[in-house]
Amino acid sequence: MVLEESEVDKNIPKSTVIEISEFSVDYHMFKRSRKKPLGEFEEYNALKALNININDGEIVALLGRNGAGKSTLLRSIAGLLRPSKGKIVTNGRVILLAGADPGFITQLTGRQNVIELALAYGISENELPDFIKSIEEFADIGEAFERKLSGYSTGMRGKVGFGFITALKPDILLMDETLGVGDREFRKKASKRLNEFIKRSGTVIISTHSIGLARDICTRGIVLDKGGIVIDSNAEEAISHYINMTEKS
Amino acid sequence: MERVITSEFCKEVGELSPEALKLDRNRMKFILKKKFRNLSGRKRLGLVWMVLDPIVVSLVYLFVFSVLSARTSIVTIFVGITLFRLTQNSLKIGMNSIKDFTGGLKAERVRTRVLIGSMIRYRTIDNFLQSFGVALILLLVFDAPLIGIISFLIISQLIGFLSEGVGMNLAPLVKKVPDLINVVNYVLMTLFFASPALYPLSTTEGIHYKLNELHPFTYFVETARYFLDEQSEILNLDYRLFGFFLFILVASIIRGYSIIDRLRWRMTTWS
Repeated sequence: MVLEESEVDKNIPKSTVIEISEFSVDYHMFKRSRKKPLGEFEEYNALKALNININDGEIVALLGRNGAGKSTLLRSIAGLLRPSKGKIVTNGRVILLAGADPGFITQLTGRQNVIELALAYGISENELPDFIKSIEEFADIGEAFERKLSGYSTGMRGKVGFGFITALKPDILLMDETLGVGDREFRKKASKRLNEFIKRSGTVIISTHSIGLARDICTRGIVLDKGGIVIDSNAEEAISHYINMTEKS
Repeated sequence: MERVITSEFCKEVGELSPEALKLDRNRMKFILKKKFRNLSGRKRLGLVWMVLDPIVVSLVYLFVFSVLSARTSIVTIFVGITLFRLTQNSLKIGMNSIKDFTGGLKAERVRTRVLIGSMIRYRTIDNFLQSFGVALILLLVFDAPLIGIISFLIISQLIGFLSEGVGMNLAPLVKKVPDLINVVNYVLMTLFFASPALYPLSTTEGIHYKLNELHPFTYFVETARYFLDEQSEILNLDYRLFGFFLFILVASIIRGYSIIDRLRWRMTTWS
């Protein structure tokens, strides 16, 4: 499962934590037609020969319309999607925050889930009490924390899940806009926690439609359209370009 | 840790640290726990059902046979049904193994060695649970010889792993042509009645006997019956054919586990 040191390109600068070169992704969709009644796999190009270098400490906003390839790019960097061409080299622990379910076992209570998942996400036994406390306080669901997850509402599950993922310590954080859970009060709290999480993480890429979020916290912006890069610049310039692009259409 | 992602692989550079190895062990435990928790669900008896299932099914067939006035030994039925159900379940689990390669952890990629480790552990426990209850009944109620019980438990492990191996080899095909699941179900149903699961091989004759000689299951079930002092044809069967089947099955399980990494990677973009 591991490569030899000699097989790795030594020319990548030390500060570069994500190097994406000539990276393309094709999805293979099963399709049945009159001509092919038994069906066949049809290729759909989602990302086209992307070249991006991201340095340590950068907070990058990934902007683009729905279907532009933002989520595909994040999932690719997380090692969850196979490219058809090209290469990605990442340096450090990569966590993908997409949705608010880190992998819950619904038959366990909120507390039991946090304990089991914490160990599976590399939290040591020494860190565990503080880790649990931080999630319990953030989720603020009272005695429900001791109930089985199968009895939770979507909002409650989202609170525990979001609290859990944002308590981890990644070197590279990939965020697919996920603040869709909980009530108004929770969203405010979640936004604060998210900012702290971003500050704690070394490098962050956020896929978002929120101009405000991109403007407030990002140092760089990349706009994607139809699987290709439209602009890769500082956050302000990328945001302006994105606004123009969406207004034209 | 540095990770390189290409169309061929997604791999980490260098040796795994002791922390990474410990994390992998914790993840294996988590995946196992999640699988068994999902299996037991809200059932009051939970995993006990895995032990009870072959016993209950054997008792049902025993009842059917007593109605039909067939003179099949109880031990023969228990052994045959347990081993066949194990074959059936393991094959299906192998065929479905392709469905989820995340290990249930959604925020971070899990190393393939973790998935393989948890699959092997799961198979061992599942094989044991499915055969343990029957083994206990054979020992305590039917006074079966200890060597027979031990052989039965070993053969259960073997047959479980080998069937899962075959299933894992079929998995990519099933992903491409899901209709194969139905075909396999019909084949398994036919084999259940045609192969010596419900009766000893010695009660078959002619083409039925000949066809069973070409079915690997026959060799395992007849070996188990032989060591349990039951009616068995194992000494009359061609051991070279058994060796050939064993070779193919062992090769398929090695291939099954060795393609997981490649397969897991390939199918991330299939939908």
